[in-house]
Formats: sequence, structure tokens, C-alpha cells
Amino acid sequence: MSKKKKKHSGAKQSAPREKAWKLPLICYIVALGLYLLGCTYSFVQDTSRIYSGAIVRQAYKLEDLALESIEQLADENGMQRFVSTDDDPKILYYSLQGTYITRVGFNATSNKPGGEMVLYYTTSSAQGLKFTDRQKVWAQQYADGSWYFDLGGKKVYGLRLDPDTTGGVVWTVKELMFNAPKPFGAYYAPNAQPMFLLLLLPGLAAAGIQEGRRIWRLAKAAR
Amino acid sequence: MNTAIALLAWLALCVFLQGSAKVKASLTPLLALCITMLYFSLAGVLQVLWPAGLLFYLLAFGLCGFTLVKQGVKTLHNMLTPGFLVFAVGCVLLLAHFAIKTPMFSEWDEFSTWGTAAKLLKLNNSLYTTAEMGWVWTTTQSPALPLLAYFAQFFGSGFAAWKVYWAYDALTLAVCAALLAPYTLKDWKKALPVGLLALLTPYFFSVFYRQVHLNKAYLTAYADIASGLLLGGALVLYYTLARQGQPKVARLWQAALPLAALALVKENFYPVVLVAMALLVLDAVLFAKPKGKALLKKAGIAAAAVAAALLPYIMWQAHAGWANRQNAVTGGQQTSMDALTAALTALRQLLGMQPQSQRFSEVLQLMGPTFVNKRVSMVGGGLATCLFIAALFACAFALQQNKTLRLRIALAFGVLAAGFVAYQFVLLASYSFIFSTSLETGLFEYDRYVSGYYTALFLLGVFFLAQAARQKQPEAEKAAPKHRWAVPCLAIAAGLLVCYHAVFTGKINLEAASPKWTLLYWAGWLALAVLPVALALLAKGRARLAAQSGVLAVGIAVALLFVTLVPPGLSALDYSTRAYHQQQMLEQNAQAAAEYLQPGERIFFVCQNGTGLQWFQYSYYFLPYILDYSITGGVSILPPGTPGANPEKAKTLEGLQQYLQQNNCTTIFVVALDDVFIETYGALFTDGLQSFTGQPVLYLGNGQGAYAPVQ
Repeated sequence: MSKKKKKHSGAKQSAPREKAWKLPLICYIVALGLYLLGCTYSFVQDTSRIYSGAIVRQAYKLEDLALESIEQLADENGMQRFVSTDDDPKILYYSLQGTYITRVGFNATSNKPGGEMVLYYTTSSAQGLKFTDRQKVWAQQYADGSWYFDLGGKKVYGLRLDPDTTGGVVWTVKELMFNAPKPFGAYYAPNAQPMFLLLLLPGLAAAGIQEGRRIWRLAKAAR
Repeated sequence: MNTAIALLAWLALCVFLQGSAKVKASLTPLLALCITMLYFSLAGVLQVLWPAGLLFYLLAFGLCGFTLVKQGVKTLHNMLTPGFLVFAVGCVLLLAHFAIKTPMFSEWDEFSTWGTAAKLLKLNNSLYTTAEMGWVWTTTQSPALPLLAYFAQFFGSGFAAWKVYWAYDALTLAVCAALLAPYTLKDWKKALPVGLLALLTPYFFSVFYRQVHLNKAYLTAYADIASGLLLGGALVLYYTLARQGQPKVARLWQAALPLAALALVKENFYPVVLVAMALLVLDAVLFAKPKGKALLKKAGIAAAAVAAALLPYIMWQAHAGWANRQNAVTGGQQTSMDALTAALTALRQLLGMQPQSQRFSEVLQLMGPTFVNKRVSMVGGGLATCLFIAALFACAFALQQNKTLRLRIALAFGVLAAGFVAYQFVLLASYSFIFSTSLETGLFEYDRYVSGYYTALFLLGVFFLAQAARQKQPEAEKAAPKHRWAVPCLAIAAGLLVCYHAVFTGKINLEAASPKWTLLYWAGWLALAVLPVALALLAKGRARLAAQSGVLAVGIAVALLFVTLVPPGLSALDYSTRAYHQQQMLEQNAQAAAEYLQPGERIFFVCQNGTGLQWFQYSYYFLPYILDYSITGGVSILPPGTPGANPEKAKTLEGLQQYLQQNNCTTIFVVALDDVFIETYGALFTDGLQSFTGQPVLYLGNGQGAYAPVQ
């Protein structure tokens, strides 16, 4: 909407001092550029870490992980199954040594909806098993229905996946993978909140710069 | 689809108001929404909701057509203002966003009052006060907001919670538009920070720490945020109607409309409406241009307009009283003191004319510390927030060069500050004599009750400061420019940044903070308090620029706070669909069970060891089927003689059978069981409750007093 405004002001104001739309336009282009640069940076960073071996893609079986309030069931069609036994089931893994984690893939289906699905992480070995609300990400869903958690390349020491918050949910796990592949497009996929800020902040910055310039001119004139 | 038609009707009404009633384009959305609320309240009380609604839609489009034919396309061109565009574009974007995400209700009061009231309205096409329901106290509910939601899904048959949210957010956008009323598209630079501030205000007064769960601003059916915004909107609208700083009495009806609507939005905000009305009359009488006889006439008009704004409230009280009496016949009861008695009792006890009751003295002791320490906004507790808002007003006062406007700002602040004290007294009376919640964990939801008043004060403060930033550039500014005034402006930013950092790092828990941080925290606020004085001394001749920088600084600070405290994915913009899974599951359970129900059937509800929340939730999801109050409303049903059993509510097996028969409960919905229930009442069920394995089960009566499970 601010772009709309800008066009109008640009069309009407016949440049008393300078073109009124120039600065905001620059601000928007710069902001968009910075945003894309940031996306590219994280893509390049992840790719280079994959090649240098800092990021290791690895699938896990339930046996490899510590389970709490979870009962493993017999496999079905070669897929592992488990049922949550109370409303706070946890799948834990805490022998990471500051490993980079980008995305945790949880390709699983449940027999019924189970409430919130969250991944907690710790970022120092001293933290031990102290998971906090400040270090958690919510599950997101691919089009095919499988889940993933985006950590954005953090050095992680422990992970805790809470698959549901109701209990009595039967899960069929196709795959649980650390550093699951992140498609190229995902680095650039727009999310609503950054977009909202991208729409407003450059305008705000332009207003600030213009105001600052006026102050500067006044100060110079005073001298 | 029906929501898109509702939006079009609002836009059409806006065009009419601008073209034919000569209202400023950016003020039209707020007026259109207030007219909707008032019109539908009247129609609801007269019990002609559906035909009157149809007429409203016809009128809106008809009047818009009339205006366009008479005045031509020029009207549409006049509509192109930042405020109106924010409203129109914002509504369209939100509509698309919510239609995809379909958020649902999730809070207690949304099920017990606000959301259920809206659903009852939609399903019955009549006011919820007269609707049949498993419980009786919905009559105390103010009607304006649920009716706004009703308007947003007037056509069609289904009910969707997200349309309720959309309607309330449209109100937020309308208030934002009103705040942007003085700007044209050319002034976008000045309008932008103000618009940003208005859009983030719901977050500013509902986020206190870094969020760890989905923040419900823009996703709430509670009236608290809406009432605060509407009060702010009404005041801003009034102060926008001015010529050369003086109020336009003839246009006072425009400001009276939102106040009239506000009286129907939230019951305990009514005293605040009276304060606002007093302010309007005082301001109009003191500062209107004509003197002598003409002044008397204008004062008369002002008083009449304001008094007329009270009529809808009186009408609603009469209706609620009538509905209450109807309900009393069928077993409803008065549960607490009425507001006036409570206020008088509180006043007597406060002045020592009557010995203080224990609860009153406890509440009185809690009020002070709660005001100081309890977080009510992103910047901290009540005292800090008050200082912050006072600083806004003081800056506006110091930087405003127009003497009349200066006095008006001072008057507004004085009256509203007195009103704030009065509102604290209302809260004192409410907590002492009306609410029955425990005081052990402090005053229950205090932040929610006061947030509305802070919101309104904040919006008005921002408006006044922005007004100072719009004044004509005084000659002095060119003649003797000095850059010293930049120092206090930096101080405002620095003060805010200190607070921001302290909030961010979570170090301003005042009870247990290290001395260093406490010192820094108060230094930040001191900077804000000293600032207006410094500004007044230094900013001679550069007031406009200083004010504009102030608006920008506040805008950037609030945006920074928002970005820091609300992580992406926990706001209305970007939340995970997983956040509403619990609700989706409850809805699915209710829908699956409803397949087996015949129209008009009543459901008995069993949820042993429940809190009552599930009963409210299923009451809402099962509508139009009625969930019976079920003896306890979703708390354990116990046989007589069990420890903890309420003697009036305890039932033997025969007693329960009798209850089911008397209340015509043909089905039983079992959500949670315990051994006592299975032992005592198991005989009622053909399977001895064996079918229940944790998932809700519906039992259908066989007509002979036994109930069989549905497979």
C-alpha cells in the first residue's frame, strides 16, 4: 500500500527541490536487495557447510533416540510406529556436539490430530537438558503433508521433538532426518511477517533519512 | 463470499458518507462501522434483525449509487486518502489471509461469551439474549461487537470464527484510518510512522515479554482491544474536526456516534464513555469560537449530541433487564451485585463511612503494587506506561505553537488523567464486589481490564504529537536555526532503546533486578520525563521538525519492540497451522457426534474432573444443538455423601435419571470419566461405559431410560 501512495505522490509533486519518489524508491530497492542478499547468504553458507562436511545429513531410527512418554509399536510395512502415552511425549537427542542443524524433517502421519508440534533445541553443552520456551520452533508442513522444523543453521547441542500434546496418538514414521534437504526455493520463500516489515520499514527509513537531511541542512545553514 | 459483500457494503457506505454527508474520507470507515453496530443493535432489540439487515445492505448500496449519480466520479477521487486506502486494502488483504488460514476461537471467554454470542446470532438471526442456551448469563453481554461479526457474515448459512476476527480487525483498521485523516497522499512520509504505530498498537498493549506462544492480537473476539481502540478513535475523530484549532460544534455528531457505539461494546467501559463525553462537551464549550448567546446555543447542541449518544446504552439496559426477567422465570439468577450498588459500597468503604470488608481491603492493598509492577504494555508496568504516555502529551504540548490547541491538549490530558483515576476506582469496586475470582495470585487479568484505557490515551498522545508535526512552518525556523534541539530528540530515542534493551534481555523484573539494571531502567524513564521540558527550552522555532522526529522515534521504537518481542511465526501474520489443532480436534468430535442427532435434541455432558472449559467449548461447537448445563457445567458429577460433593448438585442414580427426563436430554456425550462415575451411574449405559477408551463417545437414549453407545 505504501507503494501505491508513493506513485501518487511522485506523479503529483512536480519536484520543487528534488524528485519526491526517488529516495523511497531507493530505500525499497535497497531493502529488497538486502533481503535477497540475506537469503542468498544463508543458501551459500549452508551449501559450503555441506561441502566442507560441517553439515551432515543423517536419518535416525527410533532406537537411536531417547523416548519419553512414548511406546514403540510393531513396524508396519517397514515403517516404524509409536504411540504417545501422555500429553507430553518427547523424542530426545542430546549427543550433538555443536553440530550445525538447518532443517529437521519429520515425515510421519498420525491417526488423529494431536495438538501442537514443537522442536526444542539447546545451543550450549552447559545447558544440558534444560529446554526453554525461548529456544523452540514450530512445525511447518510440506505440500505432501510431512513436517519439518527450520532452525536456520544453528550450532545445536540437544534436540527435543514433541510430536503431539494430547497423548494416545499413533504415529507412523517414514523418516526422521537431521539436516533434511532444504530446497533452493525455500531460502527465498516469502513469509508474511518479513514481508509486512519489508513493506513498512523502507518507507519509515526514507522518512527518517529525509528528515535527517533537512536537519543537517538547517544545522549547516546555522554555521 | 458473504464477508466480501459485507466489505463492499461498508465501502459503499463510506462513499455515501464522504459524498453526501461531507465527512472526511478517512473518517468514513470508523463512522460506517459505528453506524453498523448501532443500527443492528436497534434492529436486534426490536427483534427484526434479518429484514433490517437486508434493508441495511440495500440502503448502503442504494445510497452509494445515489451519491455517485449525483456527484459523479469526483467522489471516488476524493476517497483516495492514505486512511481510506489503509482501511480498504488492509481489509482485502486480511480477508484473503484469514480465508486461507481460518483461525479459530481458543480462549475461555471466546467460548463462554464472545464467540458463542456471535454464533448464536448467526444461527438464530436474533439476539443471543432471547436464544435458547444451556446457560443463562449471556444477557449481560454487550451486543455491538458480536453484531459487527454478524454483519460480516450476514448472507449464507454457515458460521466461521475467522469472520468474527476479520470484523473486529476491520474496526482496528478503521481506527487507524481515522488517525490518518489529516494526511493526503502527498504527506505519505508523515503518515507512515503514524499508520505503523496504529497498526502495532494492539501488540503494544498485549505483549509484555518475548512471546513464546501465538500472540492473539488481531486474532481475538475479546472486547478489550477493540474498546480501547474505539475510544481512542472517537477522541481522535473529535479532535480532527477542527478549523484553525477550534472545535466544530456542528460536526459533533460524528464524534458522538463512536462513543454511542462504545457504550454498547464493553459493559465495564461505560464509566469511561462518560468521561470522554464530559471531555467533549467541556472542550466544545470552552474552545468553540462564538461567544455569548451563540455559545450557549452551541453548548446546547453539544450537550444534546452527547446525551443522544447515551440513548442506545439506555435502550440496551432496558432490553437486558427484560431478557433477564424472562430468564429468571426459567430459573436464571442474579449472581453478583449490580454496578451502581458496587460503586456506592466501594465509595463508602473507601471514605470510611462503612467498615471495610475483608475482600475490599485486600483488593485496596493490591491495587498500588499492581499498578506499578504489573506489566501492561511493551514498555513495562502501569507507572512506566503512564510516564511514557504523559511524555507524549507533554511533548505535544511543548511543541505545539497554536495557543488554543495547547490548551486543548492540556484539558484533554487533565480530564483523561482524572478519568484514569476514576477508572481505577471502578476496577477497585469491580474486584471487590462483582468479580469473585481468588486474589491469591494477584488481581485476575488486571492487564486486560486496564489495557483499553492505556490504548486510547496512547493513540490520542500520538495524534497530538503528529498534529504538532503538521503545523505550519513558523518563520522562526528559517530565521534562527540551531541544531541543539536534536539532543532531546536523541534522548527520547535513547530512553526508549534502554527500555527496549532491558525488556529484550528480560532484566527489568523490578522485584528481583540487579541495582544496575533498575538504575538504567529508571534513567530511561527519567529521560522521557525530562524531555518535554528540555524540548520546550531548546526547540524555539523548530517545533515542527522536533515533533516529526518524535513521531518517527516512537514509531521506530515500537516497530523494534515488535520485531524483538514477537518472533515470526507467533503473530497473526505468520503462525503455524498447528496452533489450532486442539480446536480442530474438538470441532471434529462435535461434528462427528452431530451426525447422529435429530434437530432439537438436547445433549447431556459428562466430563469428570473437568474445569468447565470443555463444557463451554463443546457448547459452542455443538450449536445449534443445545448442550445441557448438565448439573455442573462440565465439572464432576458426584453422588451425595462423596467428599467435595455440593449437596445441592449431588445426584443419586435415580436422581440423575430424573434430571435427564425432566430436562429432555435424549443423548449423553461422554468426554472424561472417573471410577466414581462408572460405579454410580454405569447402570444407565447399556455397555456399562465400556466403549469409552479416552475418545469422546456419544450415547443415544433408547426411550426407556437407558443409553447405548454410537459406534
